Amino acid sequence: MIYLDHNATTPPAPEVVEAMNVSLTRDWGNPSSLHACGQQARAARESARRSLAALVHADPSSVLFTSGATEATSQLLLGPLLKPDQAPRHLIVSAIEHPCVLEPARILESRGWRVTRVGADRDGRIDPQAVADAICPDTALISVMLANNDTGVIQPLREIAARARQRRVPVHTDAVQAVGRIPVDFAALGVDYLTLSAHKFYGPKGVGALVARDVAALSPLLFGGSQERSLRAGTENLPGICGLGAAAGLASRALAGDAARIAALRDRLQAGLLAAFPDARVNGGAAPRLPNTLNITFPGIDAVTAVMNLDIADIAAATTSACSTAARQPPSVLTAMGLTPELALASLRFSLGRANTGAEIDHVIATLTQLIPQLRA
Amino acid sequence: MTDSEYGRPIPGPAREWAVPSAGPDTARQTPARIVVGLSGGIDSSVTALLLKEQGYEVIGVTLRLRACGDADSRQKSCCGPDAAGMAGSVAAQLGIRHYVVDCREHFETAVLRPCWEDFEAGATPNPCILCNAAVRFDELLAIGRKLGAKLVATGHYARLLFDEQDRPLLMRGRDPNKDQTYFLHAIAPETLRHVRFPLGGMTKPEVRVIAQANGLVNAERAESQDVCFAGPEGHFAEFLRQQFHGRATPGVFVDEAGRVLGRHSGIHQFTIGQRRGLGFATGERVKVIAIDPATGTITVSDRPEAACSSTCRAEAFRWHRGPLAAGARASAQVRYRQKAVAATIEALADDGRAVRLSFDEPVFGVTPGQALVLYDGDLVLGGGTIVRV
Repeated sequence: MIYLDHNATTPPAPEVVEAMNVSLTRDWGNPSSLHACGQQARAARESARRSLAALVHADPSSVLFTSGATEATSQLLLGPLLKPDQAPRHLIVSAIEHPCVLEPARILESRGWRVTRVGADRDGRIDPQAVADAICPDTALISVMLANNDTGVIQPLREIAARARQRRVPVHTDAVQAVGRIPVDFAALGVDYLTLSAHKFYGPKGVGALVARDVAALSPLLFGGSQERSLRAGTENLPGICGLGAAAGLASRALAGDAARIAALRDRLQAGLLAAFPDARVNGGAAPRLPNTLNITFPGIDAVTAVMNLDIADIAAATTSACSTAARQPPSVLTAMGLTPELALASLRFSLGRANTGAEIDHVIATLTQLIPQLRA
Repeated sequence: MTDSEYGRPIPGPAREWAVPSAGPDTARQTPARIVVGLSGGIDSSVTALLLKEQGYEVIGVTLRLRACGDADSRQKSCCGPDAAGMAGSVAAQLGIRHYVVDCREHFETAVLRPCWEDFEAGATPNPCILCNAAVRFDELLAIGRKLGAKLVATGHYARLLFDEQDRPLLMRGRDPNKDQTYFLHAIAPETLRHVRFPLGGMTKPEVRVIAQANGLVNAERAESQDVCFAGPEGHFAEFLRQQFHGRATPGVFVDEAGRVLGRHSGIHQFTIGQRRGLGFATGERVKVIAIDPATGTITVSDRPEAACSSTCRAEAFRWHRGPLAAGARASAQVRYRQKAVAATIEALADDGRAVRLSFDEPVFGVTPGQALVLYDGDLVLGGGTIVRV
């Protein structure tokens, strides 16, 4: 199988598996325990926290471990609802956010909040000025992703955060697709909150983090024990956290080299497909993109059928966000960029990773060169 | 081979489709690709297993027919989310690809809506017949075409033979308890040509043994329903009424003398021969014998013979091998799993699309909306929809 769906998930790195194995067999204590077993587990957890903090250039004390980016985002957006006397306020999100942002936004709306959804331009970019223009006196938060999962387009978070700071509005960025693929500097971005997930950068599933400039200002979503400074109750998923730490360490070391090599492969794939199909269109191609992502429209094909045929040919690709039920909804990210529903449903996403080779890319180009005309027939 | 009890030989030396091997003698070629409709039950699972053993490249496809959130689909049914999950587990076990294809719109337009219209008109539609004829096999063939597979197989208990012109002959499955030709008779011959039923020559116990011998994850599951919409009588109809915001036709129950026995909230909840859920104190033997959609009146009777008919009319009749002539004999089946009875064609429209026949003995529960299927021995001659006399 040639795996070109790294934006859905990545294979855990051997170092990650090893770190989890150590956690399960040696450092299996409860980090809350007083004794040596607990101390060893605690040390493992804090080591992982430091590794992750180093990867995103944040202070370790600003890192809160969660079960993933979805929990982290829900905690940030919905946690305040559990506090007493919270008057409904205003929220700004981009229209191309992941459902882990859009769905909590919808829930806030149903509780009386106002939500502004800022659209993307034809290249899939969010205009910082449009975000700034949407700010109201009671805007509680701005949430804009750092890189889009479907197109790979990188958003101008630094500019958004700078404008928001002038108006004293906190900014959250969903950095799930960016962490481990491009340098992410929490401090330099100027955002207040950043959420991430380990399994997108060769870590395990079921673990992620919420990085916050002011952790004390967060509200818990889970209540119980005093883990994570009482902001995330429940015994830690220590094997997951250790896996995340190992993945973060690996990413810190390998990121620069990986990014250049993967970008070259992605560009090779893009050039090969455009040469074979001059009418194909790259979505987000004119904007800065993640080095690993290619979203491309082949007018006249049905993308779901194409992905099934590629699968049968042992090539893993995707239509848009992973969806096994194959509902015939056009991907909203692409329609938000101005594609017609027909073109959106004719769009494929290839997302590359560390292990892909030039020979694999050439095989994929050859397979698609044969397949696409059949799908158009 | 079939016995032709009415003296009409089956044309030509029919050959049975015996799961030809796609593997050994074509070892250097790509194996033939076949789509198997996977429901999550053991019949379709064993179908996939047998075809894989024969060397086919099997692709499992589960059709998503209804929304996961439907109250009705949370029950154990062949199209609920649990079914797709089980189908996926079986596919993983067999090492075959598996896709879930969304057919909800098609199913609603071609099956659910016409069913409600039938209920509204006081008839009792058969969603499985409609689905097989208008949705299931067409969708499976369509996905097969897209994936480079010319053939489609399902786990139905029916046999398909092909005459010398390669025309399909639909025959009852070898297991008389499981024969599903009643549900399959309305599939167009040009569709059947691309269909295979590998279980047609097997019995359910044999299929179960294969499932157990191969340790299929669903081998020990309880017997699944043959139909998607199992449940108490009237339940499916009420579900449809709510879905389409339909208007119920309430009315009264009367006995054969016209005496009012009680009231009901809508004719759609009742069918000919129904005993349970009549909602007024009755003896065990009281059954629905007639439904009048114009007035909402439902006639009941405790005479056993009152729920039986000696004649039957059917329309939209599809003859598989050309119409019989008036006076011809055939065996007739008016319900799934009901014994076929000998009958005589009394009259026939010029185009053969409307049929009137008389049974040799009175038949229980001849119900408008259900199918009349005619057989010659095991061979399906054709079928149509029963209409009010």
